[in-house]
Amino acid sequence: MSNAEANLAALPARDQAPIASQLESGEIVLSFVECDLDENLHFTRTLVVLTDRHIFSHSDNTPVRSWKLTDCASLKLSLHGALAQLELFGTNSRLTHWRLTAHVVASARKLVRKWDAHRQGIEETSQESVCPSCGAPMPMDRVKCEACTPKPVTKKYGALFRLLPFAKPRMGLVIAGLCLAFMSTGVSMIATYQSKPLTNSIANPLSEGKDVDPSLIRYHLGLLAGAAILAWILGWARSFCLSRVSERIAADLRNRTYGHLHKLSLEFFGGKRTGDLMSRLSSDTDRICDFLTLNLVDFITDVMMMAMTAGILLTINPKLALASLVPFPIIAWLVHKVRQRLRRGFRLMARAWSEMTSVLADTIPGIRVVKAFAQESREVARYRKSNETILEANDRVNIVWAVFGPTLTLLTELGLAIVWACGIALLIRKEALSAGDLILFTGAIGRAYTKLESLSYMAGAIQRSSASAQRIFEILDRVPSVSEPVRPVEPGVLKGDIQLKNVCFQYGNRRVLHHIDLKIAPGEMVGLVGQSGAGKSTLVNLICRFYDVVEGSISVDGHDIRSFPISAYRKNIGVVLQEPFLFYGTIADNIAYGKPEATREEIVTASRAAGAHDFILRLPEGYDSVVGERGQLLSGGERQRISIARALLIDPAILILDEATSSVDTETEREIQAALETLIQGRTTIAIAHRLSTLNRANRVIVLEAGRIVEQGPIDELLAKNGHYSRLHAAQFEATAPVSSDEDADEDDDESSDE
Amino acid sequence: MSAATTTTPQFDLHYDDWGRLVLVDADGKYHEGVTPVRSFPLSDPEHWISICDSSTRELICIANPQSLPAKTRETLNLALAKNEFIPIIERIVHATHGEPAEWQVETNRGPRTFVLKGEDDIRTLSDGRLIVTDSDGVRYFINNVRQLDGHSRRTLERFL
Repeated sequence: MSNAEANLAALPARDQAPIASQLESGEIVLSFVECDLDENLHFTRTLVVLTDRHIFSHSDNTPVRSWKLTDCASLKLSLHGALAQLELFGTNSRLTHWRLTAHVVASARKLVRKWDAHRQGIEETSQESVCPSCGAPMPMDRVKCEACTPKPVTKKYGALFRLLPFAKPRMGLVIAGLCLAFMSTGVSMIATYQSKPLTNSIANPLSEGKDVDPSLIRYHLGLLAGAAILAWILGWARSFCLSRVSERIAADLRNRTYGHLHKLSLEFFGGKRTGDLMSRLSSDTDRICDFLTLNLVDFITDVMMMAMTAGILLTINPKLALASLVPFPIIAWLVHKVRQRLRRGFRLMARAWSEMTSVLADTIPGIRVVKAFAQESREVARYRKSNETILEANDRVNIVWAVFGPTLTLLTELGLAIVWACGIALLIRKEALSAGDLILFTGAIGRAYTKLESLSYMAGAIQRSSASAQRIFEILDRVPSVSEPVRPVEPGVLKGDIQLKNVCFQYGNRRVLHHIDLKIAPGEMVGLVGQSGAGKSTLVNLICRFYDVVEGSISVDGHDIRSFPISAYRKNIGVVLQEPFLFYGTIADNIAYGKPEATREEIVTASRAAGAHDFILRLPEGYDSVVGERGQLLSGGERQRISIARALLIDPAILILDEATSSVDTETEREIQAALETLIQGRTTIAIAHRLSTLNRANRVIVLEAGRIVEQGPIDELLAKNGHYSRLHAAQFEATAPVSSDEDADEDDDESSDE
Repeated sequence: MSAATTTTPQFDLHYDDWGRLVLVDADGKYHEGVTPVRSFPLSDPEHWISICDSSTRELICIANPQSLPAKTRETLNLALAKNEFIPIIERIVHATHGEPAEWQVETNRGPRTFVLKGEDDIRTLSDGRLIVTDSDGVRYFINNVRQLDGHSRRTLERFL
């Protein structure tokens, strides 16, 4: 009873009362889904509740509708892209249906499952009430764990401020740099200040024909020169300190971003373009670095200098100082106006850059296709077009600048004129102002105005770099969808006892695996066959934990794989892919990729076992030969054997062969086959194969069709059974060996086409 | 596959009591639970409509639905509408900063809040329309950026 009440309480608050009033005593809510569309596909909320006796449906402005379970025959959920339909059937017609989007499909699926379980009289255990990844409790309507699903972030403060934590470890240097900046600015002010005594006590008396003490002249000129030299030394030290910090902040940022990128799952990379990521990591971080080393250092000194100038001017003559402030509000207003436009412009520019790098990243790896189809000129045109986008974006920014820069100059010239005018007026009225004061004043204000100009260019620099910073933080803020466990279980060296329970998976809205149950014993070799698109690679990706299951669970040695730290778990898995990827580097490096600390002996042993040793020795530089990313030096079979050696070297408990031999000829395949046989000894092996001959050694073959296991067993049994496998077998061998073609298989083929 | 020809063959479409769309092909054979699918939903939605069986194997391809009898065409349009769901965003009420972002929008099918994973999920079509795909794979159109109000446009520009 308390269970029933708890379940009722799980319903959305607004539905609780209307549903509760319909419940009979002792009736238990089993599951519910909040459908989000109505009949005409408008966004409306309709709650569908399954109890042990009824199905209820309730939307806000209508009374609760109900159907007795005894009158219902089946409940069906069907999907069309992001749109789904939940249909309730009676014994001879459809009773009703509800529409919903992919947003709530998972809950709907759960409801259907509860329905099935209830029909079959199975009481579902509450096993799934805890998230296997983080251990947080999950209410009955939830399919995703609230605690570890990434949420939208609300961050309003500027991206640039988020760089501050990166400066923290170098606080000492930052403070030293700021002190030096302060001192160097102060010293340079001495030079400015000298214009007053130079005018009043030297230039004026001399022009009036009076004598001036030569030592006084020497003193003031010496001070001027000394101050300039000291300012030079201090300025040099300042730039050194601050630039050093800035460079390191930028480098940290780059490392952190790249590190984070590797934590993200394949899902992230699937949706991103290589060029875009490359551009974010290279040109965007570079832009920030430029900003920090050049603009920010200048900015700091300029601000100090302006503050000091203001201080001096106020002590000399507050009235004149106020007059010199006239252009400021106008400039502030201008900067503000320009900022918004610039920011957008710079963001567009960064995106245009990404677009251009993307074109490169698309074309260069696909260069063979480009050449084969003679599309060079089209690719050049594509590049030119993206280059034009950059031009356009640049033009947009430049137009703003073109107006902004000269306007600023005009304003400062005007400001200077105002100061002169006011100064002369004060001189005429014989107020406490000397000619020296006025010279000092105009000199200082002139310098301050030029600084003001460079300061307002900061507006541009800030916008530009904050657009870049934003693009970088977009990566850093991304929460990995395959997440590290909160309470990790150390896998150590696994035995390789794999168990899949009710595993479902979908890419977007396309469901590719349905309720897979599979057990693989340690040391067993299992072959996965089926048409392409049947879900073979997906299954393997899930076992590698490149993606997480949508429903169900995968466990190895009795632990859910989501409870292992990811990299510790993957150390137990060796993978040989159809297209062996060799990194730029020596062959030895490539073999030792999964275990960089491997000794030469281990490398040679592994490559010998993989049948790669001999051909490597034939290369002029042996194991030290450099291979590129497309490995032009080596043939397909040779590269494959290197990747087998790579998998052998880490001595994994679980081995995955994803069509390891399908890209090579049969002769080479035979050689690789021999290498593979050494590889699979004593390991749990899952081999995906189109060529069924590859699977001769498999203990068991599993046939997948449209995301479901349709057949499994030892090869002989499957052949004898005349089912899916024998059909695949016949199809493959009728071309190569038509003599042995068994009539049974052919007949079977005909039947299937009828299906 | 041989049944799929570009010249429109004789056939009939109707709904049965089970709510299923039924295709009766030229040979008089009944196919229950079929679905019409547009081959070029974005660039040429009005032509090249395939009728597929439940496992998305094409049974018939209609190059030009205009050539169909009025009644069949009506059923076809109804069936297409049932499976088509791309709300048109008319106003962006609010969008959070950063990625993923939460969008609160008004569409021609009512208000909706969804999560946008990243700016890559906004695709510009060659005709200038935008397609926004949310984290659940639900797609939305923005027909004309210029016709949006200022606030919506500025919000959208943050993601472009």
